Amino acid sequence: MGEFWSTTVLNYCIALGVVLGGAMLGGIGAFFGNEPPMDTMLRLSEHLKIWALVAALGGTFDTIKSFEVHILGGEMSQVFQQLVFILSAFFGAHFGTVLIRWLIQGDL
Amino acid sequence: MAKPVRVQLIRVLVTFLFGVVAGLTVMNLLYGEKLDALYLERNHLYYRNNEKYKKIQALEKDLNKHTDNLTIGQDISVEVKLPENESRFYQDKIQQEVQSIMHPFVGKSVHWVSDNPEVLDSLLEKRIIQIQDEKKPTNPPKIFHLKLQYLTFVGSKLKVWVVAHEKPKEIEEE
Repeated sequence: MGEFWSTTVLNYCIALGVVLGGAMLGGIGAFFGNEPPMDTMLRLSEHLKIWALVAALGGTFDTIKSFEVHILGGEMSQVFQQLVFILSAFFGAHFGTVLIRWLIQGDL
Repeated sequence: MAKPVRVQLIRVLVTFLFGVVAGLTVMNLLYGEKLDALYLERNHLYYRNNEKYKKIQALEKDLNKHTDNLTIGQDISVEVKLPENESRFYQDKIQQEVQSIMHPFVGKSVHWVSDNPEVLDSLLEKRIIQIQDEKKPTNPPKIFHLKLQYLTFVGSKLKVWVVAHEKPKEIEEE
């Protein structure tokens, strides 16, 4: 597997892990803090989505900076790669949220 | 040799902690729904309790408004209970005396008196009533102590039940 695909899969998994792990451990925290655990998990999965994306991409500024550099340098294939990384992270985070929602509400 | 043992121990400890977290997660997933339902039920009960409390307060306010206008009427009714062996002759006299003691309460708010019944109680408890037997004017007067037993309001009419005890002779002499 080339570096491009491995990074894409890695971004997807990181974003998915941040949402799932954050929601699960947040649910445990809610249990100890006298709050409804499932409801907290659902809320957290929605809130963590954007942060999972940021965490998977390794900070927003690096990605924006690389966009600038590649667009100005005329390397459109690199710009496309960055877009794919962002999309894979987004789909990972979204899949995590959908999984949590499915687990709690029973529907997608 | 010591270092690998330490590393091994740390690994065991971390694995144990991971197990704890995994166990907690599984427990949360199994019982989370039930807990959520219980929290929901609790919040619903809090809400309903608050609603009832507000309703009670509004009703109390209405009741206070209604009762504040009522004042104690002139016709204070007094029931006197005497000891079994005591002559019924004294009953009317004590009744009259108690009515005169109660007279300052005429025109006072029913609400105020019903909120502070201890005022009536202490007023009666400190009174000593002396009654002279009219048929035997040479005899020393009988001395009675009073104690408030019950107190009721029917509209603006105050009714009190009083128990009268004769003061013992020994204490009298002291």
